[in-house]
Amino acid sequence: MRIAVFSAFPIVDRHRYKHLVLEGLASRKVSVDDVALVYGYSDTRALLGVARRVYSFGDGFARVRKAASPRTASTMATEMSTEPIRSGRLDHAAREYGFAVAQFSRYGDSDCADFVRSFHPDVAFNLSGMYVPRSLLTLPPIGVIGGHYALLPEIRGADTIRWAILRDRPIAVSHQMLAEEYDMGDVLRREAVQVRRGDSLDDIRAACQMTHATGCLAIVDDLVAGTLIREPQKRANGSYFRRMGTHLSEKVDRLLAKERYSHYSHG
Amino acid sequence: MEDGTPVNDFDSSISRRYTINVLAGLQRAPRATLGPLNVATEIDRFLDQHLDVLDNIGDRGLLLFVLANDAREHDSLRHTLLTAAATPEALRRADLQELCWLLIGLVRQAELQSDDEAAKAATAVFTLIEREYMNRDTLLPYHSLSRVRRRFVSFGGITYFLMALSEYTRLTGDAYAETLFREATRVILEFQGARGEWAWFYDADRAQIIDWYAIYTVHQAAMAPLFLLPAVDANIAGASEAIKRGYQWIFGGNELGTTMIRTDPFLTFRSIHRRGPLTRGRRYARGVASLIPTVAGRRAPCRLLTVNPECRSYEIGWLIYSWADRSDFSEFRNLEVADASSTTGVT
Repeated sequence: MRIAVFSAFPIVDRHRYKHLVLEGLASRKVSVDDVALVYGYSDTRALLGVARRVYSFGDGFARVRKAASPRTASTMATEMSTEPIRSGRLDHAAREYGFAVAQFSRYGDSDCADFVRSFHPDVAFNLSGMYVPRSLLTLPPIGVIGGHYALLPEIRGADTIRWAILRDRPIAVSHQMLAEEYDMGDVLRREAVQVRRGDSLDDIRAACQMTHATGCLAIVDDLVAGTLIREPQKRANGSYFRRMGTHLSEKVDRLLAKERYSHYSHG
Repeated sequence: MEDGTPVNDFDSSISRRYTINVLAGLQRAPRATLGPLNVATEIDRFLDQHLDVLDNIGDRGLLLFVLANDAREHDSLRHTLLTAAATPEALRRADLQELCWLLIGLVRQAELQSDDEAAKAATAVFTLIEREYMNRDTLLPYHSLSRVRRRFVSFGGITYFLMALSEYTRLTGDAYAETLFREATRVILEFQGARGEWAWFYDADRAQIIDWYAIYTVHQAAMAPLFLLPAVDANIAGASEAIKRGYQWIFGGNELGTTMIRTDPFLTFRSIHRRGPLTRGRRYARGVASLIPTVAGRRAPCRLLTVNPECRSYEIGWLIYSWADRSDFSEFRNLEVADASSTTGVT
């Protein structure tokens, strides 16, 4: 099986869960023939643009500067999470495994589609957290698979972990076949995420990321075994949640700080 | 009231809007209380005499609401509103109240007439309100998209915004809309004054009261219940107490110690306000001054306050609408609230 992995912002791409995915793919030598790590948003301007969009400029600039500095053991921030770093850059690790690595400004660039097309992936996994355009979605015959940090179809959209906590719902990762419409793809897998008392939002997000990674590898095994099941979503069975604002975000932080959440794992 | 006698004035330029409000209320009133009044006939008369000159999208939306409640189809009204809902550029010229009335009209049409097109149109209007007429950080709605006026929203606008969220949630079961209703209601509950009073103007960007006055009786017991009663039904903590404090204000629990309601003939006094004319210029000046943190939300001393003895028809309309089919809060519905007034009221 030939597998493409989509990621973003190579200069700060040091997430442990992504390393877990590459390690897992590298260890599946019998079933995985080749892997290509494909980057969108590869230039600094793209990184700053997202930082400015997602955060206020000052906060975003500080996060980018911190993320780009070559500290190896300290906590780094990206636009998606904050976590301890155990390994270096993902693209360096990919090359060490013998995987192809390609970097592009945007996923929508024609040279990006040309590269992916020439690689002939059977399936792709989106680890970038960014929108994958139709030009890439249609290339792998099996599809492009992404991890969604909430139960689908119940909670679609953005800030899903926060909305789940606010609504006092269990945290889970749902893997879906990406579709053009956000969070409306066939659901492939759902797995509960353990939340412990005292966990902050960053802790929960890190746990979701690891579940995302192990789920990707489980899906590879299911594909090889021919046991993957696709469950189409019905629009009416869920709701689309928008980016959460300051008032509610602070409320969620307080709920976690006071441990007022009903779905803590036992033990 | 003039010299203790109610005097009617039908010259208001917004009398058509008030009439629609009143019809919405009368529709819900028990038949036995209406006497010779036939609401269906009054709706017919209104459509015949006024529909053609009714050009405000909000008024038309509220009229659709009334017609849907009366199980009536009106193709041309429905068509113009569906067309409007599909034209975002036109919708963006509307203010919050107009959009919310449009939304509740489409919701009722969808719900009571099983109208899928109206349901889709309602979703389009809800999406516009949520994306462009709401401050996501404070959960307060914007008055309009006007750069100058946008952030200064009235309690009336907030009421219709929350009512629209509640109505839309009931139609769609949408968890996001339901969450917004719950959380935005909780935010608003924090603003209620110690005597149960609701301030008139708010800053949606800074989530603070700009101006308490005028404090309107219609807000206290007729309009606030438009969202607080659904909040009670949704078991939102504090909603029930907020309703009670709100109507106790009318029965003398206000800063002037004045009963704001009469029962024979029945009317409510419009507001407690600062002495002097209620001009828009003064209000805007106060709004600008409120940008100074020490100025925002200042209360006026009682000697500078007075009662406005007017009673406008829409106030009674919403009062009936809110309470006609409730069985709770009997002390208010039966006008048995203990009178806390220290004065004999307006003469």
